[in-house]
Amino acid sequence: MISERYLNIAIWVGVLGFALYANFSGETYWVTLATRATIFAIAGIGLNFALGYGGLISFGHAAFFGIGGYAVGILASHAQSFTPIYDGFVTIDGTQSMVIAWGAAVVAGALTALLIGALSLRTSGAYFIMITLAFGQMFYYFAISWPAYGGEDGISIYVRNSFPGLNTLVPFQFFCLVFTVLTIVILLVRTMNKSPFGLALNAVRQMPQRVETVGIAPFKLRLIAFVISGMITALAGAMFADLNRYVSPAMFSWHVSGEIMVFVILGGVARLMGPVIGAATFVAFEEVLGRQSEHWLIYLGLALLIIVLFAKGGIVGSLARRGTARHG
Amino acid sequence: MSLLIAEQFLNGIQLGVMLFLMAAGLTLVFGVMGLINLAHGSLYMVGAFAAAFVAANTGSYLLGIVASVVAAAVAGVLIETLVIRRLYKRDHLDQVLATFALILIFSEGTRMIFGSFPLYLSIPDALGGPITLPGGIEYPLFRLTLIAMGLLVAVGLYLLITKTRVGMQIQAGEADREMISALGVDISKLYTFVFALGAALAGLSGALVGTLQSVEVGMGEPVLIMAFVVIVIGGIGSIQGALVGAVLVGVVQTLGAFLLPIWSKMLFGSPDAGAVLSSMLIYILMAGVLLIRPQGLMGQAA
Amino acid sequence: MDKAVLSIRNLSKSFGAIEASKDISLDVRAGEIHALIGPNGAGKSTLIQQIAGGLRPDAGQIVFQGEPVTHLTTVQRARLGLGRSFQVSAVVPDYTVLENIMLALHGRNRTAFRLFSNAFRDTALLAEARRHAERAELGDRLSIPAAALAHGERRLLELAMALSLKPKIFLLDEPMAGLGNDGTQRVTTLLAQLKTEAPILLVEHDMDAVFALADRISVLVYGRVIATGTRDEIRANADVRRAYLGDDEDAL
Repeated sequence: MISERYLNIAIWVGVLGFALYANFSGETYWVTLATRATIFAIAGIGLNFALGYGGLISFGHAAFFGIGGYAVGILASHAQSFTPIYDGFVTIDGTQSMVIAWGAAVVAGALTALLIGALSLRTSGAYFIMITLAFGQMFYYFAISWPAYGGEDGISIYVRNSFPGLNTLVPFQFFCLVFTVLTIVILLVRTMNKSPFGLALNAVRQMPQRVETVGIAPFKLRLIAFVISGMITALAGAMFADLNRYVSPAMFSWHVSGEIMVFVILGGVARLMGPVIGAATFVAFEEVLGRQSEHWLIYLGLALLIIVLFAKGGIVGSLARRGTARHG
Repeated sequence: MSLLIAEQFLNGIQLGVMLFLMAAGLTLVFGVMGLINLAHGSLYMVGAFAAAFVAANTGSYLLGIVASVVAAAVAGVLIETLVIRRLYKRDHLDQVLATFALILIFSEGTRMIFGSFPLYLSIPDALGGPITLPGGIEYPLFRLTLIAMGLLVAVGLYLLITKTRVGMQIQAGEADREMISALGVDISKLYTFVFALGAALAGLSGALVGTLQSVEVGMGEPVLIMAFVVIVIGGIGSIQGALVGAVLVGVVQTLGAFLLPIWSKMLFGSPDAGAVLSSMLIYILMAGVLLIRPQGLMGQAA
Repeated sequence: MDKAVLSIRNLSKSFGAIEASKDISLDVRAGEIHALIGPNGAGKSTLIQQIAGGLRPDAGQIVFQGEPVTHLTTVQRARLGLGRSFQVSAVVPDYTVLENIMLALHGRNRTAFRLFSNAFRDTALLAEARRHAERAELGDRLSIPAAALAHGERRLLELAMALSLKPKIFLLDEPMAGLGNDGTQRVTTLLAQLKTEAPILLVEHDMDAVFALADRISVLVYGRVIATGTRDEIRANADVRRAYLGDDEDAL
């Protein structure tokens, strides 16, 4: 067993090192794989904030992933066709700027999470799971039946969106951008987890009646956590759209919600870097097994089943002891 | 127009009773064992494939239906004894993940055996064609049969739960999980039975609905999520709630999909807005219920 | 007569056919320990829950510092200064003693929604948390997770969290439950100090402790207050003897 702190650093270095190695040995496909894993990691960190720290088992995070993706897709499609999104009192144009589009994605994710959270947090337990799952599916059907933005076909982004000072078409440069975002997200989540808010949120998961008794409203804590969680996952969705230059209703599919949850479980629930190692493992699994068999999902299913039944705690949990001292 | 609406209304009832078959099993399993089972949709799929396979090889639709019930029940017993019973004492997160894993295994397993192309079940001749109902509505006999079967199952379930020994045990299990084992009931047998019963109902509805649509991998998932909406609306653990919720969702979904595009065309000149809204209608209904009665229409207040 | 900090007026609550509270009225006055005693199932916990906010009464009013609070949530009541401890320890199991107390302090200071500051950076707050721990004799157990504490220590942590809220009244639900002689003695001493800071409504089974501490006692039987008075009045009350003490002279 090693300290979780060192394991976290090792995971961070490992992902970066893999991408660096891939880049300098000319394997751009591997760089793209690392980018994909990094984006999934961010989506997982988003879910982990609600699920791991807040104890909110959301099976609807595909809604935020998809909203983030569609925010980027819709903005880009308007920029491509030179038609404003809204032309009335003010004119809102599309954009191919990643900074603006990702910002819009985060805002859209926050609003969506506020809406879904305000309704579903009126319940708990199995209800909460079913309701988040249902609302996620609602967005899926919405995307399919909304002809203005491609319906079932989705939206293609013909030109890779731009970021100031970078050539985003170069896989390694795009990786560096995404990896920087991951690092910032990790640091932010770490800070929030050590804040008074984090103290209260981790307490409400374990003993909500105590939190109420000290004058902190559990609903408000959970709703804020859910919104932050949705924002992070929406950001990941936005970057996923830019990686693929394509968004489709499949981003809203409940399988995506399940996969995001798998990243978290594989890595370790409520572990800062759990989703990172979880997503990396998932992508590696998909790559290696996907080559062997078109039915690789059956092996994923078996592996997941074994992990849930026999190996609790995920990868981080089995390698590192939990840092007990939250303070100094 | 009013004939059309009446026909759509009956279609809504038909969808509702099929949803009830799904939701009843889910809600029973939750009520008695405290388990949330995502793989319930896989049992629906197993039923449909078994029916399609047997009907194609024997030429008998009836044998196909029997096969759907048997296959789903057997699959239910199998996964209950191998996997599910290890989950009763676990938290909901583990249950969700393990049953999600089961979905992956069932879906890919079915794809390995039957391939990715859909199978078809044809309506038996005796039940083909329309029938004229009072009021002059021409309605497909097969769909009417589905409604009748669904209601029959509902009555059968009611009798099973209120009039039989097993039913008493189920009710006791819903009220107090600790007590029932103290009563000397073989709890693990009871759990297997309840799970298999739910599975059989899901398999039956898969075969019946698969006859109207097609039989393919993943067919159970949209139905599963609709059944969740039914349970949230009706109140978790309540069979009556499942029935009320299922019919409500079936009718709202079907009439919405029919009427909203028409209204939208009249109002805005395009059916699109109505189509978009109708795809979200049952979820909006669920949101409304959550606002007014978070515990569901028939659920007990927390 | 001292002014009432908390007044319960004609409170009633039923669960189906069971009347858990029947027209209960009682006051808790500044500077006093008002003990609530009664046999098991008398409705003490139900009453505490109604006062703290977990249960809505069917009828009646709860007035706290002159304001009706009957329709406020648990959180709002806590913020007004109702400091509650639980019968079954409800401290955060994974958290250390210090973390549990810091949680209470952030709740009291309304700083729990700060997202980007460190919860443990404020040295003045940390020092205060240590002081509260020391008062509850947990000064040397600061970094022990609550789950690893002995039962008695967890009861003390309950008290430490309640007192760190600096409440206007303490609602203490069997703080001595399951404590040995030594633990009971320690809590008795602590409560005697605490009542000078805020009055205490004390639900307790330990009769020795109640009669040693309480300024006034109310006796609850089958959801009804059958007597309220000083220790001596309660000791002498014939109804109390009959209904609750089974006429056993030695019990008092």
